[in-house]
Amino acid sequence: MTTSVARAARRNRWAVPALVLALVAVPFVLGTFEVSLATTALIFAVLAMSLDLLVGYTGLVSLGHAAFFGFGGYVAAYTAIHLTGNLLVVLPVVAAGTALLAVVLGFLALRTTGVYFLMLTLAFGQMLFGLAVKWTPVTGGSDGLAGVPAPFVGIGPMSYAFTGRVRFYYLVVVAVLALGWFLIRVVGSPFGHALVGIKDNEERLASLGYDTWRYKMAAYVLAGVVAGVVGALFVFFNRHAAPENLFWVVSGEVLLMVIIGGAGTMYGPALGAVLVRLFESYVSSYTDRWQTLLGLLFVAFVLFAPGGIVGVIRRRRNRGRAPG
Amino acid sequence: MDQLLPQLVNGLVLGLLLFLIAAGFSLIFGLMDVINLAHGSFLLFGGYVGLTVIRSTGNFWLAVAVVPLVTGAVGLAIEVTVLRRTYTRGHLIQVLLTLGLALIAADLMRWNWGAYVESVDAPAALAGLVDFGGVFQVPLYRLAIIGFGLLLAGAMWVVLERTRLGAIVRAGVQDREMVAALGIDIDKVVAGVFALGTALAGLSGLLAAPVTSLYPGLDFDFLILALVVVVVGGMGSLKGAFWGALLVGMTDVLGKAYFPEFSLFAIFLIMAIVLLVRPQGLFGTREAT
Amino acid sequence: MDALRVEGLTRRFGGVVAVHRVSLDVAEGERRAIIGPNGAGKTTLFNLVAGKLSPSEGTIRYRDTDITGFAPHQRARLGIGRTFQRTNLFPSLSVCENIRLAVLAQTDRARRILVPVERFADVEDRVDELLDDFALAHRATTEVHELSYGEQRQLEIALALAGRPSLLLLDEPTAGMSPAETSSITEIIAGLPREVTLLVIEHDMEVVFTLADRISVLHHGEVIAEGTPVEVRDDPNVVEVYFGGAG
Repeated sequence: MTTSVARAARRNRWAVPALVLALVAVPFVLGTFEVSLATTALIFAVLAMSLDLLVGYTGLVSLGHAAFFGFGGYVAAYTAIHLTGNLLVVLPVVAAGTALLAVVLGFLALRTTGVYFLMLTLAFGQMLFGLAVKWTPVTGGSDGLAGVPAPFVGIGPMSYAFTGRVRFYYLVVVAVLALGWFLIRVVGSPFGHALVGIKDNEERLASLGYDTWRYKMAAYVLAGVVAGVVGALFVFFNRHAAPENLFWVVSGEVLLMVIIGGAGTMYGPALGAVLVRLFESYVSSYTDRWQTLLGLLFVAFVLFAPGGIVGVIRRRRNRGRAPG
Repeated sequence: MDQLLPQLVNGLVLGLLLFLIAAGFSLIFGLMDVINLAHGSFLLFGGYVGLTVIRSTGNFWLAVAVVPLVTGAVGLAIEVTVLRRTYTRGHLIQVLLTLGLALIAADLMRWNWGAYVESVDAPAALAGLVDFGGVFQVPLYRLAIIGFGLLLAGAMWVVLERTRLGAIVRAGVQDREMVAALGIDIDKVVAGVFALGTALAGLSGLLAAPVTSLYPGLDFDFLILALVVVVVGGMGSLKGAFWGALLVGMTDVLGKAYFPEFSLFAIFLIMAIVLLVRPQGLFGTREAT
Repeated sequence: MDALRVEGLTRRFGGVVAVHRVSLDVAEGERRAIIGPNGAGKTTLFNLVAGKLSPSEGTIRYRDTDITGFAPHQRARLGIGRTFQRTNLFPSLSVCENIRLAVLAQTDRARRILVPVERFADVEDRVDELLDDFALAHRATTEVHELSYGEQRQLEIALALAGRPSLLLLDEPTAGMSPAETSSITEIIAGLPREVTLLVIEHDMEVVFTLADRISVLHHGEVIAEGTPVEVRDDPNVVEVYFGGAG
């Protein structure tokens, strides 16, 4: 699967430059609303890719990914409000915090696999949500933490603040390209192949000499840290850390993006995330029932196209190629 | 410490409510290997249907009769039309399917019943307080829940352990193909258990309503507690569901009373300890894999 | 020095004793077959040696190391390779990716997270070598579920050999194979370097007599006979419990 990504990348050597160009062009071509929409879509694209590392590659289906996304956001908001909005400080703090959280939760959740793992991650996520709602002195309770300052980089007069939608959009584009590149490198590396080995056949991988527990833990922490970092960006975008970012619906939605796009392909979940965000934005201007429609879409994919959009495209292509 | 006794009673109440919820959930898992993430949705749905019946007729007991029929019928319909297609396609597909259903259900219920907290009055016959020697008082309704929960636990135990139907279900939990080979229509048993489990979920939603009130989000609050109960007690075990529910209920109530911000953390701690020491749950027999 | 020394190994499942006080000494470079009727405890013994199961009693030593408490991956890193009775591969990876995963296992490069997997020249050389040795070169980019059963079994053994194990555990390498496939696999195993110690479970007596230097016969979880193929064939005990069933 990963070499087919590499093969596809060679085939479409213009895809990356074209993507970068398109992302850079968005604020010139589209309005403020669309720029904001694109910002959140890109944030969720990376969030979905980070979950794909667990679901599609390692075979660990987590229904608690919002825990890292939301937790990273709270850490960012708290640091920015009480210390500094300097991203060179905030992002390392967020990364370290989510890594620590992932180690603690992973230590428990990774003792199980399959549906048990899914249940535990869901339960952990909801517990963090409950904590965020109730621990008012630190988390602001159900109001969350408002008044998050604009992020900046640099020191004193040499600093650059990401005020305004367009500047922030470009910050997100840079972060998304960097994190996306990172994740795609990871799944094409020996480590990434070992993760696929765990998904396929953990026992066999262990019998070859892989300490599979450490690989799973590393994948869980990596996915958690990436989710935490984009969670921080999401909070800076909204200037507000809300407990809803930790809610199971977010975890469910991200899982849905992964499944709809095509688990185990990296670019599929990114595509799924963008499509789901566009769908929500488009449908919600017509009806309040977008969550129902999204649920129906999800059920339809699960029942009829579990390989997601990428799976459908591949099957089409293979059928076209097969001798008639 | 004069707060302790009433809190223990409240813990018992929550524990038995959790047992009603977790028993159906755990039985469905045991027999069908389905983690039904929509279980909490059936519970909230039952509560809301009860609310509507009570609002329009003023009769709590009518609601007690109607709610399990409605939620059981919806459960049956979902099993037959959608869920059944996924049994041969692995756990993950089933879980994702029920997740989709839970998303849809949450949205539709918010649409129909609103986003506000709806309180439900206990039936008139069970209104009022029971005085324990002037030391503390407990609402009669809560005592009734304790009684009903124990009664139902006993009844389920008798059905599962002492009847032919129970033997078939227990055999099905162990080995579905074996039961099918005996000429029993396992599809009907599975559908029946799913309907029963969802009926029980709906009923427990209604019974919980006077204690917890009804609000969007209650579905997943209770689902999480049910998950914790079966993780602690052990999957597919009635005994595990019972003791797990009491333990979690007590912890939750005592935690809320003494460390309100960290009550969930106390539950987390119990779950963590069980996972570390006995990953299959206190009364579970299978590995958590 | 023995490659493998098993002493008083016992494994109980509930009340059932699957392996009872089994002791084995397998010399360095020896090819040992474990035979016995179904249910004799061969696979349990095998899983104890490979670390999938832990023994109720007894010790397992590999060369100078007591490995009784070692996890499977630790044993693999010490140089114990194994195959599985039922084909056990990585179905979403290609043949070449399967082998590469196995070759990387013994190097610290397996943990590299940002380097493309096919970047290491010496690893690629070893992968090509194994593809050639097992006549799988023309199938290198094939997904493993498209391989024939015989090819899958060949790949199975290639994976176990990738890390150059010094002790190789083979669990029924010819199970379910056609006679032609059986003889080609037997040839591959017979052609392994002599310094590799082999422990083979096998039902096919022809294969056993071709490969084995010594044979241990397991019955009801106990070793009832041990010796050269000729000694074992003529042992009245063995004839009684093992071959006697047929006559």
